[in-house]
Amino acid sequence: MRPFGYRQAGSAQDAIDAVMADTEAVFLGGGTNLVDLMRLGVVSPGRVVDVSGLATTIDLLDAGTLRIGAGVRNSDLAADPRVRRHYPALSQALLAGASGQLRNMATVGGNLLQRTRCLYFQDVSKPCNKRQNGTGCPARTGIHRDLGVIGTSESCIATHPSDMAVALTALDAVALVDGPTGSRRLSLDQFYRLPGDDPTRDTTLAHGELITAVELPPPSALTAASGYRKARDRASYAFAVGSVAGAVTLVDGAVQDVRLAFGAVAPRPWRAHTAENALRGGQLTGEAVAAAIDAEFAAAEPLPDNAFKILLARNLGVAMLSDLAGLRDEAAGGTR
Amino acid sequence: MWGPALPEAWPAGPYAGDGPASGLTSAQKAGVVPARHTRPDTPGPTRQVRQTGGPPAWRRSRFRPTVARVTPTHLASEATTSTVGLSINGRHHQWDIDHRTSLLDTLRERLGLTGTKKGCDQGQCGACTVLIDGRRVNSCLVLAVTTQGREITTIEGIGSADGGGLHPVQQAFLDHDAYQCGYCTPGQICSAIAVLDEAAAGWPSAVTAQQPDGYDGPVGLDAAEVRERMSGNLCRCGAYANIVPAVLDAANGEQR
Repeated sequence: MRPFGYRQAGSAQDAIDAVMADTEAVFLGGGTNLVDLMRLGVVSPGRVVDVSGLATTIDLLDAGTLRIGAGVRNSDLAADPRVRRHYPALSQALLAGASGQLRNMATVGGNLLQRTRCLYFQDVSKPCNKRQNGTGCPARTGIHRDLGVIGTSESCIATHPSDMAVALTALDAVALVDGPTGSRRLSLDQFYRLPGDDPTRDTTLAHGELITAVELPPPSALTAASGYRKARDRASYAFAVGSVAGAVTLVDGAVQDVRLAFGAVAPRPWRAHTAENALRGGQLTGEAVAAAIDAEFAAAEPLPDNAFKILLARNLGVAMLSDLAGLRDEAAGGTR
Repeated sequence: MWGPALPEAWPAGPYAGDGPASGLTSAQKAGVVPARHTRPDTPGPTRQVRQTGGPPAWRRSRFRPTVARVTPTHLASEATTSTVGLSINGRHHQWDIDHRTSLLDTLRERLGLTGTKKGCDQGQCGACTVLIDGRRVNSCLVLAVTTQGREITTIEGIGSADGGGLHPVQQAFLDHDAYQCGYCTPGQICSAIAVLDEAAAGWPSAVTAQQPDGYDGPVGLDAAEVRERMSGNLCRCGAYANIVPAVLDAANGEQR
């Protein structure tokens, strides 16, 4: 590992200044991904600026907005009574991710910024356009069973690994970002970018821009009726093969409002706007949800070993919304 | 009482003074006594930065891996070590630490606290689990320099150091023979101690049943809860069949 400078930031401005002063500086949260990538040689910062002690509180603002500091640990967020009660999808997504040890370390900001677990990205002896653009992508003809089917490009089919970010996307969360040129508020659709012909950047953040908080809109019947389902290769402690965060409210059996976001299918948490629009106002039936999700994934470009993810996403989405709407016997619901 | 059928004395190994086949006695597995090779509490040498010569062949190849490079100009401009004060098992230590050093390597290589094990060194196996301010973490992914001022507890620090008594979780592991080779055991025990605290604090898990609205009190543990909450600790011997009852025993306060 390359030697690096280290400093503990006393404030967000302090952290931003320290990173802006060195083009090879990075922010450090819980370290669960960054330290691993440094050891693998995937990331080689010259300076590490520790922001894990900043913004560690969850505050209820006057308007009912819940402001989650970027340094809040995943375990604290999952256990927060307000989150469990008013935004169950978020608590469930966090608890479905990683292990107790890792959730104690991982921060909200770091979770949003974690990198893909694509095998080729993590192996510096292999070409990878995300690690070094222009070297090629062996995944297309290699091991791609866990990789993306939609929003991908010729140069990269990596998926974003976060569970938490999928729930935040469905819940219309906003990321608060501070930087050398001021502050920005970004929806997660604006925060994440698709790879196109430059997969090296996962987000729209510039060097020196720091996530300070994530805000959830005031609780509503919709956020309270939210949930998260995850399919994975073992019962616990595994990244998603596919996942969904959903929320739905009904009036006389018709969809009043609905949210759907899928994980492990795209380079970013995939907000299913097409499916939501197809469902809004119609009767909520399993067939209607399946058709809406099929419409969403009509633009998918699967590869031989991950084409199953489209059917998986449909089944996850149908089960999620059916559960939330009480259309299925609860005992028939699988594990989340 | 001691666990079933684990002899205290084993036949001598190929080398004089060798312990049992695993290299550890049952008491060592449970962290009651330190493993062999403990070192005096003195700082070790600062790790040397390896300077490389000309670029090796692979650097000139088409797929140049983006591995760490030593940049002398950078080294000249910024310190890559810091003096760090660490509190480990109630004792304060102060060292000059290379920023790259993990907490795990610091514990094992600097302090000789080899009870904490290095398994995968990438946060996937849990063998390196220790408690920081009472919370369980993977010490392989913690940079030691970030733990300034924190209270670190390792397997060596959870029982009574003067031979007084075992932690209830240690006793439960002995009672249930909750190990085979013992390598994952210190991490399992540290993790289980935290699991009991987390459940008592009302932290839910992925398998916690829906509680009455607004309830955030203690969570009762059953086998499904223990399996889910302990999933960050892998056991390649597959001793889970005894680990789960051991943790449940400790949770229920059943001492034998």
